Amino acid sequence: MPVSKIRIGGQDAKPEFSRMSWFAMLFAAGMGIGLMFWSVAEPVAYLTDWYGTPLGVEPNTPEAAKLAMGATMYHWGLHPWAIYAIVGLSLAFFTYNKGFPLTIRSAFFPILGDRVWGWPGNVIDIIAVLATIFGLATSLGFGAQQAAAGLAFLFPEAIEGGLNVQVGIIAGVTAIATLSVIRGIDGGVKLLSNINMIIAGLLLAFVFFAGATLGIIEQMWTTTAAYVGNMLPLSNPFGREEDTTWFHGWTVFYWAWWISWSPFVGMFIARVSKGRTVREFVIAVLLVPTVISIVWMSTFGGSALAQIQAGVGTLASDGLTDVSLAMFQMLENIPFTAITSFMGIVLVLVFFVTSSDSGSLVIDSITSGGRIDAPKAQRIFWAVTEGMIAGVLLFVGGADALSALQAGAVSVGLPFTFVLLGMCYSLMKGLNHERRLLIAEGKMT
Amino acid sequence: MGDIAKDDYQTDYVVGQDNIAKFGFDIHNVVFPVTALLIILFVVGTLIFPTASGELLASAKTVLSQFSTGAFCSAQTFSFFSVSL
Repeated sequence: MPVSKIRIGGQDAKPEFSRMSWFAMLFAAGMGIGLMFWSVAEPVAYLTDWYGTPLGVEPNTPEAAKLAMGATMYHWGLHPWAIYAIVGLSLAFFTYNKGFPLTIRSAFFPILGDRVWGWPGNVIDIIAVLATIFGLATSLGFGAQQAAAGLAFLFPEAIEGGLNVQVGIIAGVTAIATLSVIRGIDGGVKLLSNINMIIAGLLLAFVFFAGATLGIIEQMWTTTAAYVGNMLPLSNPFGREEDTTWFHGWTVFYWAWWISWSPFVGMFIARVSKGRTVREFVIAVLLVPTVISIVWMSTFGGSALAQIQAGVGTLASDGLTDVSLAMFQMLENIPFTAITSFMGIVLVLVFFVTSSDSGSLVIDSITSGGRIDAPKAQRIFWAVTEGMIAGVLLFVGGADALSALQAGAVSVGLPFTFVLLGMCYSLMKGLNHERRLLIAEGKMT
Repeated sequence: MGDIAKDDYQTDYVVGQDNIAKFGFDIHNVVFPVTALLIILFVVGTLIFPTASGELLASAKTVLSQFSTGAFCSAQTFSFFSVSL
């Protein structure tokens, strides 16, 4: 596309962050805890018919194992990142090239003109904030459960992993996130995201080398093939009688979830992407996370599937009993369990802090009318509010309340589908306009 | 598509012009209070009526699945759009 040479922030803009830090932040914000939570549980669920199987495949067969990986990648690969890319690119373009406020409504200027500063813009921004804060609180709640389950698993005598531990974890994480929010992006999220990537890389390497290394390499190939090969059948919305349960319970839910997550991730991506060209942006946002997901899913999910098929461990004997424990049950069957489980817990916690932190930055920016430099008191307010919502809901209703909240986030996200469709149109219009302007000014050919 | 020399995407809007700054906060006059209020209502509502709010959200989930095909197709649209960029 001819617009792909446009650079975010003007043709002379320089990237604000190094490539590695940029990737790390993209990834930590977009997937983070979810990848820790689901990388083992989701493929296992598909293989064992926990809540339907993809395309109605016979469970517990080699064919089902392949499809389990392909379908998991389908949910975690290009599609979510395409949604994020649209929101991210729109916001980055209108904020850094056109000088509009960093808030969702700015992306609608080509459609609504100066009316975006009035009530239509208010509505868009309010929906975005609600989707973000409920989505975040849900993620934080699930993350707290997983960390607590992991601690109880690792130290069965000392910690019970009950509600008190979960609420304690939320409080601790919120406190660290608040500190990080106060320090700003450079000293806060960027630092944490880089730490995250290092720990994640180490954990991956551990599982990779301590586990069935050759099997995992083979699995990466199988996963990629299953992903590409099944993309079309999985994308077909019609005639899904075979797997209606699965399709509605998983695919539709994921899509709605990613959409409700998109104002947050998109805006955060926009915030850190100044100085990249449109082409660089789209390639980085679509491909890099997808490739990392293939590696990660193949290593964690693939190892779990191999264990089940070989009849090894709790996942094989009892099936998927507790989603928040699945990853630790997989780690149990490979050497250095104590080390890997501990790293797993730390990683969940750090991802947790990054999500809470980047979420507060985003909400803060929207609710302050698009300021990038809003006062710190406000950022603290949002970081604490997220923690409180997650804590209160866990305290009152446990996991059920979290699922309810997640349903809430998804429902709020639904109207956002229309917002996104409008955004595509608006973005195209904006980019084409910019290109012609740049040609007229002689800055682009 | 001819060349243009004029930038249509300009606005007189200044970031923060609708804001109120008080108590060390600097907030958008509509977005901040409305969202804060809705969130507080939601949390308090859940605390006081846990069953009712659970049911409400469960029904929201049902409504959601009615729209599934639409949401699903738009997700595909987004993917094609991104890839085409």
